[in-house]
Amino acid sequence: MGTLVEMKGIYKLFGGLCAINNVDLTIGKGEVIGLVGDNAAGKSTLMKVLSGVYPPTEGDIFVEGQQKIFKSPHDARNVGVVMLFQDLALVQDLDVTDNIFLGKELPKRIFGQDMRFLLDRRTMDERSEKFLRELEINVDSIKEKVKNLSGGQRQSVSIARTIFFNARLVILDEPTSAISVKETQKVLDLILQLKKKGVAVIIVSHRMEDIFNVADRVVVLRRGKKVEDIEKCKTTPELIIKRIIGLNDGAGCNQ
Amino acid sequence: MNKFYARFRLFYLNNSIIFIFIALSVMSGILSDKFFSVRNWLNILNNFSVTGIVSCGVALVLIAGGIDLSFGSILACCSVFAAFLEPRSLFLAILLPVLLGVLLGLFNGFIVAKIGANPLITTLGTQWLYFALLMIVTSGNLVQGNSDTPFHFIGHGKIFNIPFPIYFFLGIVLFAWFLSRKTLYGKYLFAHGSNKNALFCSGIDSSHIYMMTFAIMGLLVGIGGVVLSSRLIGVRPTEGGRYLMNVLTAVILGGVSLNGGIGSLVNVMIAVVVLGVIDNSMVLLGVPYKDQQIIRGGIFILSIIYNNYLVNQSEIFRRKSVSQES
Ligand SMILES: Nc1ncnc2c1ncn2[C@@H]1O[C@H](COP(=O)(O)OP(=O)(O)O)[C@@H](O)[C@H]1O
Ligand SMILES: [Mg+2]
Repeated sequence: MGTLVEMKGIYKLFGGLCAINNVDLTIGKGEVIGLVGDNAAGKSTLMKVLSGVYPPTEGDIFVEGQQKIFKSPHDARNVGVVMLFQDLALVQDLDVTDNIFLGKELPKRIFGQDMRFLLDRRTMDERSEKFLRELEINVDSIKEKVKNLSGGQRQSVSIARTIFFNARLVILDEPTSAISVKETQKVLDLILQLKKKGVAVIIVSHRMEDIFNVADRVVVLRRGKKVEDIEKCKTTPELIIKRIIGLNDGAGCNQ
Repeated sequence: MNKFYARFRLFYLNNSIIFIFIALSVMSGILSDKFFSVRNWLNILNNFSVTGIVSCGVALVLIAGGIDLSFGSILACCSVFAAFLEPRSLFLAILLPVLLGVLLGLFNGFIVAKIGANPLITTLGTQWLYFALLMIVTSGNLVQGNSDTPFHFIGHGKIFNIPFPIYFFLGIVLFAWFLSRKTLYGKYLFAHGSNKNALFCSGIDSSHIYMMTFAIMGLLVGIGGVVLSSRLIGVRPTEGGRYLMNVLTAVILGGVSLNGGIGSLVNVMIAVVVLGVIDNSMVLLGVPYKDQQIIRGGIFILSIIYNNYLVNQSEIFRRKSVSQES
């Protein structure tokens, strides 16, 4: 399994606050990483740096050995790094198809000419229908507005979107925090499907059982510092929780 | 509540403006026997054609999550400009006011979308600014047009016995509907109003879309200004003010969400006709002008309550359908 993305010496300061303090992180191809930590540990911030939402204050990001500077989420997306935010990823007032194709719409062809400003809704509907069926994602209708779907359906649709766009690293920030147990399983299944397709996944969660269910490796952040980075089989939820709350370590942000 | 019923209820609510329209028409028909004549209906559409054209533009801005209160001043600027140009050149009297509309709309759009200023305050400001400039240029006087130029035909001509402004009205509605429902621009328009962060995360810079929407509103208001100007023999700089209330009422009654992302141009157009029917009935029944104003104010407030109810109901539906599945 080769290395896909490497973050080296990442710092992120918000004014005087050091949200990320010298973090290194390596992500292998098709690897599932569980990123955990207490509230305000810096998980979301680190992931936003990785996905181009924030520039790092210091540090470098490499994708397949090549240094990349992400000026926007668009740049990150272009090399296959996609972050799904807690409920930010979808447009609630658009339907399922419109959301799946958001940013990659198929143009209508008239007289063999692509009309970029017109939408080929029929083809998009057909494809998203087929695609969701393949992934066993059930929605009443792809014409349904996303706001009328359940939390789990929405989460599934936004994950499905990333596969559709040939993402190579998908970042999920608390994907299971707002949905039912049954739907959580569906989301976790989808993560394994991503892995099967060779897509790497970082899942940010505070639910240990979800992390241990799908992750290959567990990374712990505490007050902006990485305090643990270990294969799942070499640790236990109890040990991880100890690292999260900082037993036996004085790690902090020295400013 | 069963899901099918919930869905039906939502559909019914979303299209309730049609029932309002039918109920009002039946009532007006009972109150006045002149109401259901073809002539009267053409009259209603003709009288409200400018309101309809402008409402389309304003509705687009609201769907994008913004608001523009300066359309009355833009309308006045464009129609006065058209009246000024009309004796000189038919072509320029149509083209330049429309361009002026685009420009003024674009200016609003630039401040709101690119600089990021609050649209309500910004366009309240440009409403004053545009109006003040117009007053300086015209010294507050009526700008006299010419009543027998071909320009006159836009406002008074008929094709197949149907007044020409009605064609404009329907054409613009069709254009705006097509734009909002069938094009990439339209999709991003709704998306921007609903959740611009999602667009940003998908790598789409929607501030262009937002800015363009103000310009498109300016375009439609400019066209409305030309139609308005050609209906009148002289245009007063204060002409635009009368439209502020009607247009805002139509857009709100048409169910466009004041938070953006939700709206149907077809419903807005039905709302325009509803207002036309109410106005027409008041005239047919001989309601005095002062009372008419009170009724209009009341309808405005009722529209806001109705709009609020519609938006809340769709939120409730959302919560219900979500909790049913989990
Ligand atoms: N945009 C921001 N501006 C200022 N401070 C921020 C910003 N985003 C996050 N922070 C701060 O950075 C720290 C880490 O936050 P975050 O990454 O959201 O933590 P987590 O996701 O682990 O709960 C917190 O103290 C938070 O208040
Ligand atoms: Mg977080």
